[in-house]
Amino acid sequence: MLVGRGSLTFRCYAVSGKNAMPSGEKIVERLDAFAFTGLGEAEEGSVVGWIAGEHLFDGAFDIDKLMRGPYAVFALRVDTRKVNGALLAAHTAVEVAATMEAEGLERLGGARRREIKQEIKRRLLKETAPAQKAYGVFWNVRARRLYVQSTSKTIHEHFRGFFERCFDLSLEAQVAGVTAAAYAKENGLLEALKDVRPMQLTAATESAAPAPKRRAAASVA
Amino acid sequence: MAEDLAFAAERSFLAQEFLTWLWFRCEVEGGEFELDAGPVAMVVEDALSFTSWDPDGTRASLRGGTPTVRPEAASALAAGLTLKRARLLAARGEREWHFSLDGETLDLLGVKVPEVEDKGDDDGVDKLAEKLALGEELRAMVDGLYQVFLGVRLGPDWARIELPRLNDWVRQKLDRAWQEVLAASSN
Repeated sequence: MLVGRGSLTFRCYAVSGKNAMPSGEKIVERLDAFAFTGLGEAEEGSVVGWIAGEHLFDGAFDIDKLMRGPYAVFALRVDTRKVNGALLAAHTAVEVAATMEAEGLERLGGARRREIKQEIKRRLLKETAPAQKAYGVFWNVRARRLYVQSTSKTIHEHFRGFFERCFDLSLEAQVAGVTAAAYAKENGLLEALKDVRPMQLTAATESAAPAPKRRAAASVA
Repeated sequence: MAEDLAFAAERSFLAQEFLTWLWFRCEVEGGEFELDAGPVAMVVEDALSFTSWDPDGTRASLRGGTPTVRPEAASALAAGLTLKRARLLAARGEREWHFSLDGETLDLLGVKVPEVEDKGDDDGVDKLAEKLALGEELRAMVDGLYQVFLGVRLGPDWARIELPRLNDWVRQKLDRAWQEVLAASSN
């Protein structure tokens, strides 16, 4: 199972939009429409798509598998193929040397070198297996909260854009500044938040204010 | 929208302050908090990562043993560093969550949720759903604690009471650290 396996690492998003609480059937339909299709055999770069939650090759979306209690569970698959730069340079150098020797040349022009490099790159791409990764997603549809099992900035960029396109919904990562802004807005503290600057801790001696017995502002038991 | 994002990004330092403040409250007041969703007890356990506000500035990490009481931790705080990441324990009733909290994003990492009770194969309980719900419950607890912090941080008592108390805590930790160092060097 790709979702919820082992210890959990995740970032939280708030989901908003015109239909922010789609039915299970609708989610299945959208996942199917944006399902992972894979990289072409000689394609370089990254490609993303949805897979069902069981394993990397699980492309069968069905509602019983998708809906687990209040959660829709699925995964984002990201395949990346990239030719190793050092390998490409080495193969190109060998091929350029062999061509110069075969053709009795002292040097090879830039255009010809590029041509050789491109040909080698095409060959290496066919020989290079893509890195295949998947990141679990669990979406509490009614709570409009969605959780992605990664902390990678790149993955979150991929995820957010792809999700918003697929479901025509907006996502807002519940990171510190966003949560603080929402809290300040709700509690009439926006001005205070605007003025806030990083605290400077110091061990320099000064008379500390006595600790109050109980402070309502902190709601501490 | 872009302005909102910039505004939020400029205040992401609050998460680091929150983590440091949480540690302070745990040590000074016992780490028990009454949240809307119920009480929670917090402990800062291990894997402390400190950083200065300057993005190219000093970083320090302490792990293993009891790093919260180490002289190095006191020195880091006294030098103005704050917590960027730490391994924490959250407890609600009999249930315990162990996790790391990122002081830049509030992301939760390596969350070990309380054991989901096994009532046999046909108990009708979806263990995955239960595990995810426990993860979500922890997220709600952290959000609740962060809101308690924000209430203090953005309120009038911050500069008058809370920050002096934080500095007093740092000073006491540093004093203890010096005593430990002197005791160690006299042995």
